[in-house]
Amino acid sequence: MKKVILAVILTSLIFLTSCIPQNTEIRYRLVIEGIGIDYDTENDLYELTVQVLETGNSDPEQGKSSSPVTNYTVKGKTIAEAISSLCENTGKYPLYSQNRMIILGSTVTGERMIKALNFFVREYTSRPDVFIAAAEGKASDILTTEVGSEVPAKLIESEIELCHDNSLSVNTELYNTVNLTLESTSCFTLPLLEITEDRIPDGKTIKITGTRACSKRTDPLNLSAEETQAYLFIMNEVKTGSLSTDINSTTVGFDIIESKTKTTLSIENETPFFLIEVNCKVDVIEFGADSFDSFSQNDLKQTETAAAEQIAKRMAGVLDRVLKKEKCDIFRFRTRIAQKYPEFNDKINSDDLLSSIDYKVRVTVDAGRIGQMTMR
Amino acid sequence: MFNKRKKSEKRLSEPVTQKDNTTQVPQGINKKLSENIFVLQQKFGKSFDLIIKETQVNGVNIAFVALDGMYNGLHASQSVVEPILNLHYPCGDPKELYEHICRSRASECDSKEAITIDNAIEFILSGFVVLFVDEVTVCRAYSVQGYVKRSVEPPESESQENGSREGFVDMYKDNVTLVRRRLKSPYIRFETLSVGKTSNTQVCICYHAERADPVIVNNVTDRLKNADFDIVPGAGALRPFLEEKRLSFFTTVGTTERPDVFAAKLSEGRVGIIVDGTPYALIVPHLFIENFHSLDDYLNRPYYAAVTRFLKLICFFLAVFLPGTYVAVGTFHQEIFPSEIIADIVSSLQNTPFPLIIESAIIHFIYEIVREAGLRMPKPVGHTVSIVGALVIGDAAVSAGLISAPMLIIVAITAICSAVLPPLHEPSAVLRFIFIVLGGTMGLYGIMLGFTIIAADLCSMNSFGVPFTSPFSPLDGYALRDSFIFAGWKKVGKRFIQIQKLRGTHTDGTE
Amino acid sequence: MELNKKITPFQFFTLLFLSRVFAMVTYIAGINKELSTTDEVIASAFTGLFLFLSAVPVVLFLKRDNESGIIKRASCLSESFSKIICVFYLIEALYFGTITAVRFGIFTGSVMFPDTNMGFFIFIMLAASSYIALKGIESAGRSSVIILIPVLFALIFVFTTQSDDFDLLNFTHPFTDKLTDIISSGFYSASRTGELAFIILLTPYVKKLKGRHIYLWISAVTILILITEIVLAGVLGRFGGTQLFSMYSLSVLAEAGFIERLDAIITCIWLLCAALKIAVIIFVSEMLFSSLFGKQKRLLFTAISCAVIFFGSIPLINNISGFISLIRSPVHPILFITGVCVIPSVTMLYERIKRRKKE
Repeated sequence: MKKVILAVILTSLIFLTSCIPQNTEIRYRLVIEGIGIDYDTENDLYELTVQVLETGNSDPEQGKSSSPVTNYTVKGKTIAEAISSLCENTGKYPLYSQNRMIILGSTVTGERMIKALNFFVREYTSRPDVFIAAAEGKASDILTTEVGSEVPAKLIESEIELCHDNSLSVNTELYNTVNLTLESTSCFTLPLLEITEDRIPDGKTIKITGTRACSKRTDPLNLSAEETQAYLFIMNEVKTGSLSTDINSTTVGFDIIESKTKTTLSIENETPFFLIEVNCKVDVIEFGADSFDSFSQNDLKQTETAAAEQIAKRMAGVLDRVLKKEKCDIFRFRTRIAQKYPEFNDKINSDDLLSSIDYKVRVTVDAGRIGQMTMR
Repeated sequence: MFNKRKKSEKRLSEPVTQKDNTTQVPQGINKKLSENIFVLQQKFGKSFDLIIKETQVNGVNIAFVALDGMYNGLHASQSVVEPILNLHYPCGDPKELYEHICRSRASECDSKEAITIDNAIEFILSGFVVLFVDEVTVCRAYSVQGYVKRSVEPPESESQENGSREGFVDMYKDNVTLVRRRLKSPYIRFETLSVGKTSNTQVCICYHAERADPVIVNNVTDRLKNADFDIVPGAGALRPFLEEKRLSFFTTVGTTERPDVFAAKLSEGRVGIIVDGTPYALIVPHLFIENFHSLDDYLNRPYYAAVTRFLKLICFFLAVFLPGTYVAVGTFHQEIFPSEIIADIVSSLQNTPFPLIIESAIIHFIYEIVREAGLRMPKPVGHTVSIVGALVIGDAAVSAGLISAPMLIIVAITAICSAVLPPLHEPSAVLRFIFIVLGGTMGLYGIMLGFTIIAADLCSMNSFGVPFTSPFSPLDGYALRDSFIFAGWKKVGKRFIQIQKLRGTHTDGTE
Repeated sequence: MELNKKITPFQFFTLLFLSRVFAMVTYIAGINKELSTTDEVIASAFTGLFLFLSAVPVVLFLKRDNESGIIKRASCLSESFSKIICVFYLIEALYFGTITAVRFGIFTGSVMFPDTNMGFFIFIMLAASSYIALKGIESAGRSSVIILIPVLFALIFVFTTQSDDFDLLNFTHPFTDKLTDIISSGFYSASRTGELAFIILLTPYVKKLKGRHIYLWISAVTILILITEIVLAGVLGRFGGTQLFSMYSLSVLAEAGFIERLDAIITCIWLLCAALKIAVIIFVSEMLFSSLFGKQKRLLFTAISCAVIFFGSIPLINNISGFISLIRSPVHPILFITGVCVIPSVTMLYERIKRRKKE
C-alpha cells in the first residue's frame, strides 16, 4: 500500500510540474541591456527604445554580427503597454535583470517621469539598482548611437561609474530616485547624457556633460560639470577627481585624494543655518611654471588657498543658483531640518523654508605630495 | 499482481537458513577409517580434486585427506607426510600412535584437532591436510595451505603520495598480518566467524579491546551472525547488514584498501571487518566527514590538509549541485549569469533543440554510460571507449547542435570533481540527476529544498549510535581538530579520540 | 520518537532562531501600520522588550520542571484540562503553519517565480517539511546547525555589503509617529514569534532547558530584527515601504566586487528556514494529535496536519489583502498571549492549588 501511495505522490508531482511556466528559459527571453523612455506629446504615448542583446548568431565561423545589440522601438499609453507590444512583436518575454540603464528623454519630466519609473518599481523582475540617467534631447538617440562593437548601455554605465569616481557625475539608481521623490521636496539628480562628435573621427559618442536636477514640482534644471563637482562636494560624494587653479598666472593641477564634508545644522533666529565644512586632500600633479624646480613652500601655501577658494566659490555658486533661485532642494536640506528640528519643519511651508535657509561654506585644502620636485 | 510476484519469488528461490548447531546433531568421526573416507567421498561426490592417501604407519591404517591445489605440496610432504610416514613407534595402539604423532616432529607444523566430520570438511576446504587414523574418533588438520594468491600490492583505489605502498590483499590472514604489523598491541583483537551457508566465508572482526565500545563490537558480531546469507561475494555484501534499515543515498559503513588507514581507525575505537576474498575492509562507525579524509592529509603539513579537504568539499558540492544549478539558473534565474557571458550562453543555447533540463539529463546519462563502459571494459578497449566518448560528446554533439558548449564544460567539471571523491561517487552520480530535475522544475528553490532534505537525511543517520554528521552536528569542539581542518600531530597526536564518545552518541542499540 | 534522543539547547534554539529568521525575511510591508524609518527601528526594540516580558511565564514554567512538557504536566493535573490545552496548541500550531505557508507561497510566487501557481510550491514545501518532521526533532535540530551557517552567511553578506549605500539622511526624527502606533507595531511583531509557545511543548525533547537559553535566544532574535530594521531604513529608506518584501529588495542591492546579482541564491538560502519552520510546526501538530488521541500514528497525523495547512493556505494565497487583514486582526496576538502567557500561568496556578490541597 505504501508503495502505491508513493507512486501516486510521485506521479502527481510530475503532473504538478505543469504549473511551472515553461517559457522562462533563457533562450525565450529578451535580454534587455538598456531602456530609453521618451514621450510622444502629439499622441500622448510613451515611446520606449529597448536595447536588447543580440543572440542570434552563434556560428563562430561566420563571426559575430557588427552590432551586439538590437534596438526596438515601441509605443504605449503606459510603459507596461509598450512592453507588452514588444513581447508581441518579438515573441519573447523581457528579462530585466541584465538591464543597466533607464534613460529618460527631455520630454519625460515631472509626473510623467514618476509614472514611468513606477513601472520599474512595481515590476518584480526589474532590479532596484538599475542606473537612471537623463538625456539632453531624445533618449532613443542616445541608446541608438553607434559605438562600434560595444553595447551602448554598457558603455554609458561604465562612463557614469568612472565619472562618478572622478567627481564629474552623479550616480543615481532607481531606488535612490524613488526614495528622494518620496521625500517632502521630492528633488533628485540624474547624470546628463549628450551625444558629442569630438572623440571618434567621423563618429559620434555619448558624453556626460553634467547633472539634471529634477523635481515633481519644478522644471528640470541642468548643472554643468563644474557645478556637478561642487554639488558632489556638498553631498560628501567626492571620492577622487581632478582640479586646477591659477596662481600668479600659473596653472596648477591637483588630484583629489580624499574629501570629507561635514554639514552642521542649527536654527538661529528662526532661520536654519547650514555650516558646510569641506576638508580636501590633494596631490599636486602639474605645475605650469617655466622651470622644473620652482615649487616653493610659498607656492604650496598659495596653491592650497587658491584651491580652497575655488571649491568654496563653486559650492556657494551652485547653492545660490539651485537652492535660492530655483528652489530645488537637491541637497536634502529640508530632510535634514525635518530630521533634526521636526517642529520647525512643520511650521514653515517648503518654499519659504528654502528661501530662508542660510549657509556658510568653509573649505580647507591640504596638499600632500607635490610630485617629483623637491621643495625649497 | 503482488501475489504473482510472491509466487515467482517462491518458485525461484528458497530461504537461506543459517546452520543451526542446536537443532542439527553434528556427525562425529567414525572409529572406522573406511567409514570416514566413505562419508567424505559421498560429501564431495565426484570432485576430482579430493585427494585421499591411505597408508600404514607401524601397522596402523591412516589416511591423509586434502584438496588438490589448496595446499602446498612440498610443505605438506616435508612437514607432515614424510615425518609421519618415517615415524618409528612400535606400539600398535592407534590412539597412542595418534597422540605420539601430535606430540612428535610432525606437530611442529601448525595443527588443529577436528572432532566432527563437518569440522574436518571445513579444514579440508580451507586448504588443510587432514590426518585420519583408524580407530581414533578425532582427526588432525595441518595448516599447510598453499593456494594461488595475490601478493601485497599498492592499493589501487586509494593511492597516496606519501603513504605506504601496501594494500589489502584477498587473503584475510595476510590482511590481519598487515594490520598486526602496524598495531603491535595485545589489545588488538581479531575474531573470526563464518558467514554464508554455501560459501562459509571467513569474516574477521577487528577491534581495540581497550578503546572500542563493547556494545558496538557485540552489535557488529550479532548482526553478522544473524545475516542470512548463502554466499558472500565480497565485503560490500555485508554492508546492508551493518547499515541502518532505511533508504539513504549515503552509507554508514566505511571501506578502505589501506592497512595503515584501517589500523588508525581501529585505534580510534572503531570496529573493522575483514572478509576473506575481498581486498578491502569495512569500518564502522563511519562518519560523513571521513569521506573527505585521506592519509596524505595526516602526512602533509596541516595547512595543506585543510586546503585539500576544503577542495574536496567544494568538489563534492560541484559534482552534485553544479549541473542542477546550471539548469536552474538557465531556466529561472538568468540574472545570476554575468552580463559579459550571457550573450555567448544564449547564442549557444539558441541552436540546441532540447530544453536545458533534458539536455543536461541526456549528456550526464551519456557520461555515466561512457564511464561505466570505461570501467568494465578491458584496458586496451577502455581507451577506445574514452576516445569515442570524447569525440561523440566533446565534438560531434556540439557541432551537430545537439548540446551546447557550456553544458559540455559543466559535464567536464562535474566529471573531474566526482573523480576527486571516489567514496562519494555513487551518491553524487544519482543525486546529480535528482538535482537536475529539481533545478529544471523548481529552480534554485528546488535545489535548496533538495539540499534541506539531504541535510535532514544525513542528520537523521547514525552509524552504530554515532551521529553520521558528527562532529559538526552535534557540534563537538575537540573533534573539530580533525574534521575539515587538521590541527597537526602536535595537537591531535597527544590524545586519542574514541569514536563512541562523540557528542550525541547513544550506542544502546537504538538507531 | 524515542525520548532518549534529546537535542541540545543549542540545536533547539538554532531551530527556533531560523524559524524566526524566515518570518523576518518574508516580512510583508504593510502588515503593520506604516511607520517612519526611525520609528520602525524603535518598534523593533519594543518587539524585543515584549518578547522578554512574554517569556517570563515560560521561564517560570521551566524553572519548576524542565523535563516534562506542558501537555504531560497538564495531564497530571486533569485529563480534560490537558485535552483542552492540546486542542488550543493544535489550533495555534496549525494557524502559524498556515500563515507560514501563505507567506512562503506569496514570496515564491511573487518575487522568485512570478506567474507561477503558488499552491504547487506550498505543496512541495509541505512534502519536504513532512519528511523532515517524520525524521524526528533530532534530525531537524542537527540540520538546523548546518543550515544556520549559510543562512547567517547570507544575512551577513547582505548587511555588510550595504555600507556604501547606507545613508543617515534616510532616518527620520524619532517618534514622528504616535507612541501607541509604535508600541502596537512592536507588539504585533512580537506576536509573530509563535516559536515561544513551542518551547514549553517541546521541552521533553530538549536536554537541560534553562531560562537563560530562552533569554539568549530572544536577545539574538531582537538583535537580528534591530540590525535588519536599521539596515533597511538606512539603505532603502522610504523605498522599502513601496516593496512587498523589503528584505528581498535589500538582497538585490547586495554586491561585493564581482560578486553581484546573487539575490536568487540568497533568498533561496533564506527559504531553507521555511522548510525547518514548517517541519517544526508539523512535528508539534503530530505530537499534539498523538497526545489527543493517545495513539502513535505518526504518518497519519503528519498527513492530517499537512492537509489542514495546505487547504488553509490555498484561499489566502490568492487574496493578499485578506491575508493582511487576518494578520492585522487580533487573532495573532490573542493566540500568542494565550499560548505563551495565559496557559503556562494557569497550569502553574492549578499545580500550586493542587499541591496545597494535598498538603
